[in-house]
This record gives sequence, structure tokens and C-alpha cells, in this order.
Amino acid sequence: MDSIYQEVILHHYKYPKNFGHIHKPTHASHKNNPLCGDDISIEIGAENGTVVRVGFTGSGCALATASASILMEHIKGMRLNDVASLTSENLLALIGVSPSPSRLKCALLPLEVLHSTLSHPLTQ
Amino acid sequence: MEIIPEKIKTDFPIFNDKPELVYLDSAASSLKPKRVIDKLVEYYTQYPVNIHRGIYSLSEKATAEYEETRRVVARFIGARNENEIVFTRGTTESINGLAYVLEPRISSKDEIAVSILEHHSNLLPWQQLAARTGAKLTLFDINDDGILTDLRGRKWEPMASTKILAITYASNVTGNIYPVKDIIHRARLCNPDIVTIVDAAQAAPHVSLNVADIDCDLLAFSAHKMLGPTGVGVLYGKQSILNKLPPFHFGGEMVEKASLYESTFKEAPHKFEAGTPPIAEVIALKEAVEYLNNSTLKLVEDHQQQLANYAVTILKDTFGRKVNIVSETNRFPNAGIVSFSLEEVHPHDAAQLLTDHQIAVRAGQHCASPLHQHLGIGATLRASFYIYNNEKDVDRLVSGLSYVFGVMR
Ligand SMILES: Cc1ncc(COP(=O)(O)O)c(C=O)c1O
Repeated sequence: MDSIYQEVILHHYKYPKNFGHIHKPTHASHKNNPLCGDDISIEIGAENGTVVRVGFTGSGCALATASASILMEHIKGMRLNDVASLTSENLLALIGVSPSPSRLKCALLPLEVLHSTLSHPLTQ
Repeated sequence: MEIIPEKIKTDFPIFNDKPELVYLDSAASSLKPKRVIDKLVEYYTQYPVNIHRGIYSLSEKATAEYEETRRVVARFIGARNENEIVFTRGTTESINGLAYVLEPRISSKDEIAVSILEHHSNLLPWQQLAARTGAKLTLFDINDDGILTDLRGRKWEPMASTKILAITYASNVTGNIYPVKDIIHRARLCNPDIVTIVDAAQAAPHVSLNVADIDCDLLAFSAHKMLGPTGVGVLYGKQSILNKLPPFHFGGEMVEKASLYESTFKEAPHKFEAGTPPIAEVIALKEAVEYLNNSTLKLVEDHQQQLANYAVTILKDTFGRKVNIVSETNRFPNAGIVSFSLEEVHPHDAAQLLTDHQIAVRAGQHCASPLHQHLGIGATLRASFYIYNNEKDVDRLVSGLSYVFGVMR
């Protein structure tokens, strides 16, 4: 099996993009995996149905963190309904590694959180 | 005499296949010696039939092997006789079975006491029993002097209403081996009728058990952690209590006289072994026990302790504060388990990178989340040793961890 610790993953892990809270979030959610301690929160700021601001916080393994960072970059500028239809396969293609079954849940946690944010609009 | 891991390794076929393997996850499941594997094959090729049923010689042979294992296990743990040995599918099944059959003895006014150190399999069944009966579930801790305390460190003792005390013999996270004999003795001074249950899943592979000396009522362990096959475990119970408890399962084998509307059951231990048991696995467990007897458990205990000490020392010397070891108390003997976290590196990343160097360790909370919460720690890495491990394996772990820090820096 190819190592999942490729440059791209390590880079996003060490220098995550869009890490932190955002101004005026319109949607937010949080999930964790209590067994391994991965814990990710995502905030989205949408305007007219388009994602304009994104941010994530929390802590996790390299895979979960890099996956969150890559996912955040990807959804900026996307329509909310396109974000809603992102699949696990889409995310794995984006991060470009195929984790072993035992690590899959680390890689996919950010997508789970993202989908959950869409059903948690914040009342302004 | 001493344990010579290099020699022991030659008894384990996995090392022919993977000579570079550094297996440091024996607390999850041990590797299996050839002798145990051969016995499984012997059963399946020479007498692969059911027990206690046929009057033909193949079945008699299988039955004799099966019942011989019961005697060997009884001697191995110091039981008074083989009728105190029940074969189950494992520790988890043994404890769940007990939580069901003890239910009629528990009312909403009672207390069930369980230590905070437990593996989920000796906690969740009691949580469920408490929920079904309305009894109070009390969690206690064990201090460095082996005294029971509440979770804030104040002395705790069972009361007359404390019907059950469930406790692990050795922690699968810290490796501490607890003085269960003294703990049980003191608990009985507070409540002579308390039912004491010991989870010996981590102790059986390392400690020469003596159930008569510990004087517990019930005790459970799994074959797969002590060189034996998966799918079989042992439930020890004092004859007097096994006779009083009802069966957990009903069906073939365990029945004495079945009629349409009611039936009577065999005596213990057979009343607890409904249906066709894991025959091959039970029979091969005998080989595991004899293998361990030959290596002498006292030596195993010392070997485990030495490896754990060596690992703690070299981890601290090499990495200093970049490694946090979960339990450094030297107050208890260690069952060859060292859990630790790494500064700034998630345990999953470390465990995965170690596989690049053929090093197998466990990452997570090791089925003991409440203990991790109590200690205020997240997931950890766990290195656990057994008779085939040596200091070279620990050195390989250390160089593996240097590689991990290098990649993740
Ligand atoms: C202390 C302890 N108790 C119970 C168990 C459960 O054993 P099994 O999975 O064989 O039922 C384990 C195994 O992980 C353990 O370490």
C-alpha cells in the first residue's frame, strides 16, 4: 500500500488552510470520533446560496486535518446544493490517497461535519 | 532458567513468514505457536466430530480431548476441580452471561461496584444490569497502595447493599497487576455475601493464577490472549456458586431431561455449555496452557516486567518530554504493557507510520474510554509484549518512533 503520508497530506496537516473561525457564519456544525479523539468543527458563510467563507477548527490526526483543509479549499465558491451532493468518493479523489479501511473514518470525518453544517443553518 | 525470545520465536510460524515483524500488540491478541495450530489441524483431520453425543470412537476421542482440556485448565488456574471450569466464547461472553444470571439477585436498592480501570467488557454488562434493575452502579478506583477509593481518592468500601464487585486483575492500558486477593479479602470483611468477579483477560497470559488463593467467586479470561485460539474463553466459578446460578443459554448438551413444557438441566459446568461448543479451539487451548506451563509463568512474569521497564527507560531517555507515559507507578507489577502519547503527533499517525517498519502497535483508547476520561487523556499508543519479544523489538520501536517524529515534524 502506498503511504498516505505524502507531501500534500503532510503539507495540509502542518499548514492547514482555512483553519480558524470566520466572520458571520451562516452554518456551523461539529463532530468528533471519541475513540480516537479526532474533533472537527466547520463554519460556512454563504451568500445567495454560494459558499463565500469557510473555516474549520479542532484537532485530529494528519489525515483528518489534511482532509478538512483540502475540503475547505474545494467548497469555497461552490453552490450549497453542490456541496450537499459531495460524496465520499469525491473527497477521496480530492485528497488523492486511499486510506486503509481502519483509517477511512479519519479521512471522511470532515465531510460528515460539512454535511451536518448544511442542516444546521444559524439564525441570524 | 530464563525466557529466550529468539528461541521462542522459532515456535511461532508467523515469524517464518514475516521475520521482520515486531509484534507489540499481544494485549489485543497473542501470536500462536505451531503446537496450537497443529492441534487445530489434528482435530479437523483426525476426529472432526461432535462431543458428548456419539458413542463411536471418533466422538469419544474428541470428547476425551475436550474434557482433558477442562482438567488441564483447572490445574493451570488452581481450581479445586474441573467442574469449576466452564468453556465460553471469551471473556466478554462470560461476563455478559454472568450479568444475566445474576439479575434475579439484584433489586433497585442494591449497588453494583465496578472499577474505573475496566475494559468495556467488564463495565458495559454491569451498566446494563444496573439499568435493567434500577440498581446503583458505583465506580471505584484503586490507589497506589492497592486500596479501593472513590473517584476523588477517598477511601471507599462495599456496603451490605453492594451485591457485586467486578474488578480487573490487570489493566489493559497501564499494565498494572492489582492485588486482587487482598482487595477481595477486604471487600468480604465489609460484606461477606458480596459476589466477586475478576476479569483476568490480561492476567491469565502473564500471572500464575491461583483462584483458590485469590478466593474470588467468579473469574473470566480468553484463550486468544494466551497463545490459544480465538472463540474460546474460560469462566471459572466456585462450585457452590455455579450450582446455584441458572444457565445462560438453553438447548442441546446442557439439558438433562427435556419434555414438552419443562426441562431439567445438567449440573455445572455442563449446564452452562449449551449447543455445540468451539471444540477444536477448546482442545487446542490445552496446548497453549501446556506451552505456557513449560515456559513457567513465573519467568514470563519477570520477562514482561523487564521488557516494560526497559521500554519505559529507553523511551524517556531517547525522547524526554516528547513522550508521555500513561502510568509510571512502580507500585504494581506490570503485565508487559506500556501506553504513551507523543507530543504533537496523533497516535493514529504514529501507529500507521510504524507499520512502514513492520511494527504493530495499538492506537486508540483500547476499549477503556472511561479510564482515559478519568486520567484526562485522549487516545494513546500501546506497546504490549509477550514471550517472543525481546529488547531488540523495543529498540526497533524506538527507531520507528524517531522516524515518526521525523516525518511529522
Ligand atoms: C482486560 C480485558 N478484559 C476483557 C477483554 C475482552 O476479551 P475478549 O474480547 O476476548 O472477550 C480484554 C480484551 O481486549 C481485556 O483486555
